[in-house]
This record gives sequence, structure tokens and C-alpha cells, in this order.
Amino acid sequence: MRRKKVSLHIGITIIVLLLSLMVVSFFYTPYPVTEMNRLERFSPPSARHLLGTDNFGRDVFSRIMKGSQTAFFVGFLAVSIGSVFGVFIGAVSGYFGGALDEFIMRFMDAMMAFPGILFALMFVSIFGVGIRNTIIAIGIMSIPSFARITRSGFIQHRELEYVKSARVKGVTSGRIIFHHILPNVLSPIIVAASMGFSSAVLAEAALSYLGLGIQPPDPSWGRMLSESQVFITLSPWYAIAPGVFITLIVLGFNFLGDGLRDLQDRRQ
Amino acid sequence: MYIYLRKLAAMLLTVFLVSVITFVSFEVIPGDPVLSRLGVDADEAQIEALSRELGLDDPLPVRFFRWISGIFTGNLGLSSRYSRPVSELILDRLPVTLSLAAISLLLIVSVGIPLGILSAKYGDRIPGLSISIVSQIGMAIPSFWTGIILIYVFGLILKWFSPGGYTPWSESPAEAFKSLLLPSVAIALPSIATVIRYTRNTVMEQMKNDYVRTALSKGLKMNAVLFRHVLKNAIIPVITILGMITANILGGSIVIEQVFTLPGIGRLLINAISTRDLPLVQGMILYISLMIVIINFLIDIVYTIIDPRIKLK
Repeated sequence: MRRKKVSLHIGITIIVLLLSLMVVSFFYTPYPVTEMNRLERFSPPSARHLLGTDNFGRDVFSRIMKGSQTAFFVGFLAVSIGSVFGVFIGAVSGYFGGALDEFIMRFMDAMMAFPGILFALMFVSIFGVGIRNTIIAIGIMSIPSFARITRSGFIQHRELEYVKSARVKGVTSGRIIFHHILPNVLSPIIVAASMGFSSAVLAEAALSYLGLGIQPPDPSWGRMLSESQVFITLSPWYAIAPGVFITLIVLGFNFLGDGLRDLQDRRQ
Repeated sequence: MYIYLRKLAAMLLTVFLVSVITFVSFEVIPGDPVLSRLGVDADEAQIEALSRELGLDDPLPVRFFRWISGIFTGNLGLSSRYSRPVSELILDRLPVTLSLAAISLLLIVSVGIPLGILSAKYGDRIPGLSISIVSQIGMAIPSFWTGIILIYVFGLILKWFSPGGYTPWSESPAEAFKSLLLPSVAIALPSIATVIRYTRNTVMEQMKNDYVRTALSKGLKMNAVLFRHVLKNAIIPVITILGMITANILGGSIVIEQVFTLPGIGRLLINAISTRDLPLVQGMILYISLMIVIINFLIDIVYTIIDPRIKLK
């Protein structure tokens, strides 16, 4: 029993640590993020530069700190887009059922046939690269999974007594969907949101690595990795920190999602 | 039979929707393809002539069907950069990507399933937990970072292979395998982790069943029960995630081909996007997603055949 909460605790710990790093980065970074220093290119980790410097002599730790803003920003907004649209679509589809449901779900299936990264690539190749389009692409990409989860909750609930009695009393469908059923089916959606955050961060990192996501001067862990690869023989340590931080944030939200799911299973 | 026909109909509908999404998405692109070819100072007559030649003055549905019928005739339009048919370019690059996918799949199944069973066998004891923690981390590591590290360790320090090089199968199968193995490992790792976790859960779920107790109480060894009885039942849900795994593999190889500079369809796609070769991008997205739809359909069919209970549902 106790063990089950471990993932929740690990997840929250990692996320809180990274969040504090991000909050601090708004006010303070050891060095200005864009300050170049020709004399200190590719320096290894030291007391002056905790994680060393990059090809322009910029402090890697400061850039990692700034990069956390991008990761949280993209993750949060992408999950918001995905969950708002996904929950709405899934709720309507599951509550009303019938031909509409059939059509919507076919459409969601079709969207799921695109591997996430492929959809994002299609989106940016049409609308152009940059942070805004990265967020929208990843957000749209995550709509189907939210829609599916919400739909299955609504299908379970729509014939339950409390819904029927609300309907008999003449409560409008919109009210039943959002005020009566939604609060009852929220917990799997929250789990999905946590997992969705992980996928969003990974997708952003991959896109930025490919040069099709976040563009300079916005700092991004994914792009730092692609820069580090060019100079890997000169400074292998530069490739370590961005990878570790991407892994940490993804791990944090995966653990959080797992922990929340365990909690929810136990309550039932 | 009815159930297969229904699945086939559903698959064809998905194919149709996927094509519509791909086609319509590229219709909203800002900018005029005719003007971009002729330049801004083209006169009315020239514009009209080229529009007619390219068939751009036809209504949307007509153009959609002309484009989509290209799947069957092998002509999905001309790449604007290579001036070669899109299908031809894709076919050229396909062997690399398919080899990557095959090796990755082999790794995923042969490493993921046994480790998942082992991890379930030890349950919440140390060996079981450590496998499950490692798999948790494996899911979180971005595959391109794994790739970079593999290149550094095996390519630059140990010099087991030369990074950036690729030898086709036709030249030397051994060399080809060598250049494809590490990228496949990088692609497979997250999916291996997923399969471990999934197998662990389904096996642990199965272990609660009466048939396991019966088998154990009649004196069968734990391993025999696991691999002879439990595996058969646990493997079926694992097959359902194979569809997701194929999507992961193809998505993963788009990025990993870039990391290892392998001449597969992923690299072609990224180049096409960077050079704004939109007919090529559009064709590739259609091909890749249709491949996934069809693989999912086949998995679904296999699944129905090996588990007759599904037909009754």
C-alpha cells in the first residue's frame, strides 16, 4: 500500500525541483543567457561554470535554467489545448452517441494514425516553424487521446441514475455534460494530462532537435542537444546536461501520472 | 467473416479520412503555387495557362481524387526539388527505414517481453522493481539523445563503426547490419521500456487467475507456468500495443535517421521540409500514415484470429 505512493512522491519532487529552477530563472541565472565569451569556449564543468560552456562560451547551466521555461511553457499550453478540445469533443461524442459519435471517433482514429511527430512535422511544414506553431501542433496532436478517455467516461456515466434524473428534471444537455458528468470523470483525464505533458515535452525536444521547433534565440533543451552533437568530439559533456533535464521532466510527469492513477484505482 | 468485412470497411474509411486530412491540410498553405513558379511579374495569361496545365483550376474534390489516385498509379505528383515522382524517391529510401524498423521490432519483442515476464515474476521484490524503474527511465529518455551517446561511445571512442557512414545491404550485409544496429537500438529503447511495463502488468494480472493456482498446486515449476500458460494469455493484450509500437518505430526513425545521417525516408522528409518541397512532404506523410493504418489493420486481424473470444464480443 505504502509503496504505491512512492511514484507520486518521486514525481512531485522532481516537478517541484524543476519548477523552482524555472521560477528562479525569471529573476536570476548565474550568467546572462546570451553572454558569449570567446576565451571560455567548451570549458568543462567547473566552479565558475557548473555545467561548462558551449561553442560560444555561453554558460550551459544558465541556458538549461532558461530552457526550463520553454519546456514548461510548451508542455502546459500544449496540454491545455489538447485537453480543452479533446474533453469537449469526447464529452459530446460520448454523451450523445449515435452517428455523430461514430463519425467523430473515426476522425480521431484517423488522426491517431499519424505518429505524433509526423503530424507535428506536417503542421510546421505548412504553417512554419517557431514556438507558437510548435505548441499548436503538439496540442492538436494530443486531442484524440483526451477525446477517447473522456468519451469512455461519458459512455459509462450517461445511463446512470443521477444523469437520468437530471434529464427528467429538464436540465439542459450542456449543463448535464459539464456540471454533472464531467466532475465525475475528471480523474482519468487528469492522469492523461500528466502523461500528455511528458509527450509534449518529448515532442518539443525532438522537433527542436530537428531544427523545426523552437528557434533561436529562445532557449530549448532539444536544440541544445543538436548543437552539442556538432561539437561532441570537442566537448562531450555539453551533450549530457540537456539530455538529463529532458529525461528528468518527462520522468517527473510520468511518475506523477502513474501515482495519480494508483490513487484513483485504490479509491474505486 | 462479417467481422472482417466490418474491420475492412472501418480501415478503408480511416484511409479515406487520413488522405483527406493530408490533402486539405496542404490546401490551406499561404502563398500561390503558380505565382511562386512564375514569379510575381507574370501576366494574367501566363498564370491562367500554368494553372490549367497543373490542373489547379479544377474544383477541390476533382483535384483530391486526381491526387489520391496517384497512390495506385504510383504518381503522387512531382517533387519540386528533385523533379522526380514522389513515389520513386520514397521507394529509393524505403529499404533503410524498413531495415531499421525490422531490427527495432526484433529487439523490442525479444528483449521487452522476456524482461517484462521476469519483472512480473519477481513482482514487488528488488529484481522486479529494479526492472520496472529502469523501464520507467527508458521511457523518459529521448531517443535522439540515446543516439548521440551511442555515436559518441561506440563510434568515436570505441571506434566500432564510422559515424555518418552507411553501407547498403547489396554491398556488404555485415557492414549494413553494423551501421543499422545502433540506430535501431536507439529507436527501440523507449518501446522496449513500454513493452516491459505492459507485459509486467498483464502477466501480474494473469497470475491472479485460478488456472495459475491450479498449475502451481499440481507441482509445475514457476517458470513453466509463466512461459507455458501465462505467456499465452498475456501475449494477446501485448499484441494490441504493437500498433502503437509500429507508429513509435516509424516516428522514431524519422528523428534517428537524422541523428545517424542514414539515407532513409525520415531524412528525406526532413530535407523536404527544410527545402519546402511540399509535394514531396505531402506524399511522404500520406505514405507513412497509410502504412501505419494498414499495419494496424493487419494486427487487428491477427489478433482476432489468435483469440477467438474476440469474435463473440
